[in-house]
Amino acid sequence: MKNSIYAALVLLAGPTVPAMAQTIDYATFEQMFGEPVTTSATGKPQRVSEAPAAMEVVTADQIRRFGTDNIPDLLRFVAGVDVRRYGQADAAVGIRGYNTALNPSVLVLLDGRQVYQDDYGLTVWPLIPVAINEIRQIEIIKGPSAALYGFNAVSGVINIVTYDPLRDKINTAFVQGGSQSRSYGEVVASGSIPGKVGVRLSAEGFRATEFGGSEGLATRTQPHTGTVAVNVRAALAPGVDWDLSASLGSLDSDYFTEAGQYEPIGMKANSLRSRVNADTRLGVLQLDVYRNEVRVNDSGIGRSASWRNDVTVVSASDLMKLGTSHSLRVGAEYRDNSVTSLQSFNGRLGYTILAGSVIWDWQLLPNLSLTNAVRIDRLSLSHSGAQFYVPGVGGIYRDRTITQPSFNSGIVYKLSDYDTVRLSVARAIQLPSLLDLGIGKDYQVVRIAGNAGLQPSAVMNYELDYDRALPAWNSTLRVSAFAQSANNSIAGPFASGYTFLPTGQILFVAKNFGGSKTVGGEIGIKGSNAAGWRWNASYALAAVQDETIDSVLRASPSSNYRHQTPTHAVVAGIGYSRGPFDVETQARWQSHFQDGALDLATGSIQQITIPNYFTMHARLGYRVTQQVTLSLVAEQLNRSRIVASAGLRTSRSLLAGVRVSF
Amino acid sequence: MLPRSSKIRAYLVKIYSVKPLSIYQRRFDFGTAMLHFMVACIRCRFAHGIVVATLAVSMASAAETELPSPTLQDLQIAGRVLTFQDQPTPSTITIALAYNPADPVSRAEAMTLSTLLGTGLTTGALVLRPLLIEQYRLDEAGRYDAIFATTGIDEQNLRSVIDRRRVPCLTRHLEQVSRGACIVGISSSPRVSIVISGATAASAGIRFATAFRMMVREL
Repeated sequence: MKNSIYAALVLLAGPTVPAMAQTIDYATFEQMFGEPVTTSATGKPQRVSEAPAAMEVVTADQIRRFGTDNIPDLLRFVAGVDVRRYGQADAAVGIRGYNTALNPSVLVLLDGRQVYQDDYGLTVWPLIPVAINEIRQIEIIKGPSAALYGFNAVSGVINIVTYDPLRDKINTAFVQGGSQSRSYGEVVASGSIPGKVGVRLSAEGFRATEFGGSEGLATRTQPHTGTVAVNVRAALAPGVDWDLSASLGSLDSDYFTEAGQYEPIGMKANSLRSRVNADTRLGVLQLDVYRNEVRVNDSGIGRSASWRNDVTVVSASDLMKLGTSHSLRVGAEYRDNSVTSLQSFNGRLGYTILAGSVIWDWQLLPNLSLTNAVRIDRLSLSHSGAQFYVPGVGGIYRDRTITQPSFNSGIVYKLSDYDTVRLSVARAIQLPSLLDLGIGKDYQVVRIAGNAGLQPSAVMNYELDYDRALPAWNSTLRVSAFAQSANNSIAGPFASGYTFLPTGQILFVAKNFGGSKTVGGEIGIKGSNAAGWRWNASYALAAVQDETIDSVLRASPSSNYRHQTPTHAVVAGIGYSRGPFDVETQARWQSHFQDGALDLATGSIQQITIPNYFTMHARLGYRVTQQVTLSLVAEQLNRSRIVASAGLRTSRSLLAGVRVSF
Repeated sequence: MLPRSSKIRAYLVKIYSVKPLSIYQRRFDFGTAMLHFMVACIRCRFAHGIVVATLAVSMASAAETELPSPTLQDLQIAGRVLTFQDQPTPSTITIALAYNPADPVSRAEAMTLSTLLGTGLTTGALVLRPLLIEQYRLDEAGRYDAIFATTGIDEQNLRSVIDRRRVPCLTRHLEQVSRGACIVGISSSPRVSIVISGATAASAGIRFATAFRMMVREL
C-alpha cells in the first residue's frame, strides 16, 4: 500500500523531481516565529500576522485555561463571533451577524476536512470527532473565504487544527462533571516510530440533563454524544507525508430548528480520509480524498423523517514558490454531495461540483504583499426517484447547473515593525442546502417542499484592518471595519412562512427573499506579561439591513437578519498564572435580538425578543503534579438562568475536572 | 549619497568602506569624524574638507545603531532554521562560529554566542555545539555542519568557504546575506524576521523546504 501510494506520487511528480524536506511543521514554525502559523487563509503557510484576512487563533493553552468541554462555549468569547446555545448539545455559531438556529453560512473544518453538513446547512458541533486536548489551535477567519474553500464560506471559516500524530506526542485523559448531571470524558493516546509513523487515537463522550425551559418545548431529557477517531501520519520518504484518518460519531439530542421548535434528532456519522503531501521541486503537491457519511433521523412534527447524507471530496493542489517574490497555488476539486431517502427526498437528490482555483501571492516589497485568489465552481444538481408534486406549482425536482466565481483579494502593508494594515475585497457564494433544494413530504394537512429553483446568495465584502503592536503594554491592538452586501437570501421551507394550496393543505416551501447589507467591525486589545497576567477586551458591531420589508419577514423570523443579529457585543477577560495555579475569567455582554418560536395556538412562528444579557465564565486550575491538574469551572457564573434564545433558558453550571497526562 | 567629486568619493570608500547600497554596520564616532575633518582639510582643498567633515559628522550623528548582543532566541531560531534543510540533519549540529580576530566586536560576538551555546544548546529536535574558528581557518577546521558568521569578517572568504564546504551559513547581520556572503539572516527584535539568499544557497547546494521558503523573505 505504502509503495503503491509513493509510486503514485512519483508518477504525479515525475521521476526527475526528487522529494525534499518535511512539509508543514506547525510546532517548529510557531516556536521559530513566536506566533501561530496557518495555511487556512490562502493555502500557503504563513504567520497569522501576515495573513491577508481578519483572523483570530485560539491556541491550545487558551483552550486548556478556559476549561471548556465544547468548542462553541469557547468561541462565544472571540470578538465578532456570536454563539447561540439552544441546548446542552445544540449551539449555533455565527460570525459577523446572520446567526440563526441552523446557521449555514459558517464553514467549519477539521484539519481542512469539511464537518459542516450540507443536508440541513449546519454544523453539529458535538458530532465533530475531536477531543479538546488534541486541538493545537482553532483558526477563525472572519469574512468570506470562498476562493480557497468554495461554497458556503460566506460569513467566515473555522478550521480546527489538531496536533501532528508524527511529531507531537499527546497522551491525556480528561473528565469533567457537575451541574445538570453533566459529564464529559475524553482520552487521547499517541504513539510513534520517530521519523517514520505516528498514530493518535481519541475518544470523547458527553451526557447531561437538558436545560429546564419553557412549557410546550418538549425536549429529550438526556442529550448525549460520542465520537472516536484515529489519525495516522507516515513519512513515506523525505518530504512525503501520508495522512490517514477515520472517525465514528453519534448524537442523540433535540435541535431547535427554523420551525421555531425542538425536533428530536439522532445522528450517526463516519468519515474516512487519505491525504498525501509531497515537497518536490515542482512545489508542495497534495492529493486529498475524503468521504463523510451522516445518517439523520428527525422525529419532528409528529412523524419521522430520515435520510443519509454522503459527501465525497477529491482535491489536488500544487503550491509553489516562483522566484523570490511569488507564490502560486493551483487547485482542482471534485465534490459529490447527496441525500438519500425515499420518505424525505423521494429518492436521491444530489449535486456534483467541479472547481478550479488559483491563488497568487506577490511580495511586492519587503513590507507589502498582494494576494489574489480566484475560484470557479460548477455545480450540477440532479434527482433520481419519483417526482414530488405541489398542486398549482408542479414537480419540484429538476436538473440544474450553477456556475459561480468567487474571489479573495488582499493587500498587507507593514507600515512599521509595529503597524500592519490590511485591505481586502471578497466575493463568496451561499448555496441552498439540500433540504432547501428538494425536501418533499406530504403529511396530508401539511405539505413541505424544497425548491430546485432557489438562487444562491452572492456576498461581496470590503474590509480594512489595522494591527498595532503595543510593546509598552505587551499587547496588540486590532481594529477591523467591513461593509458587506448579499444580493438575496435563502429561506428554508420553515423560514418562508406558509400559504394555502387549493386543496386546503398548508404549504411550506423554500424561497428567496431580498438581499441585505451589513456594516460593522471589531476593535480589541489582547496581551500578556512575564508576571503571568493575561488580558483581553473587545467590542464588535454588526448592523444588518434587510432589503425585504419587515412586514413580509415577520412571518419568517429566521430570514429577518436585521432582527436576528445582536448589534453590539463586548467581551473582556483576565487571567493569571502563578506556580501551580491558573485563574481565567471571561465575560460577554451582547445587545438584544429577535428569534423565532412556534406559537402552538396559531401554528405560526412568532418573533420573540431576546433581551440583552451578560454572561461570565471562570476557571480555577491547580497543577497537582506535572501530570495531574484539577480544575473548577463555572459557566454563566453571574446568573442561574439566562434567556439566550427562543429555546430553553441556559443554566448556570459548576463543573469539576481532572486532567491527567501520561 | 556620495559626493560627486571622484577624489572625495574614493577617499570615503577607502577610509569608511562605504558601499553604495550599504545601510548597516558603518562604525563612526565623533572623535573619528573630527580627525578625518582635519585630515581632509590638509589633504584636500578646504571646500572639499568642509564636505568631508559635514558628511563625517552627519554620519557620526546618525551613526547606525550597532546590533545588540546575540541572545538565546537568535540561537533557538537558528537551530530551527537548520531543521528545514532538505537533507536530513543530524541530531547534534556543530556550528562554526566564524570571527575576525582583528576585530574586537567580532570576537566579542563570537564569544557571546559560544557562551550561550555552552556545551550544547537544545533547540527543538537538535543540539547545537559551538566551534570557535578564526575566519581564515574555516577551511582547515575539522567537520562542522553550519557556520554562524559574526560581524566584520571577510565576506569573500566566507562565501568561498560556504561553496567549498557546502554548509549553511547563518548570521545576524542581514547585509551579509544581501551581499551574497551568507545564506540566512536572522533578526529577533522587535519581531522575528528571516531572510534568505536563494542564489547563495543554490551555489552552496543548500536547499530548504518549500513551506519554510514561503514563510521567509527571499532575496
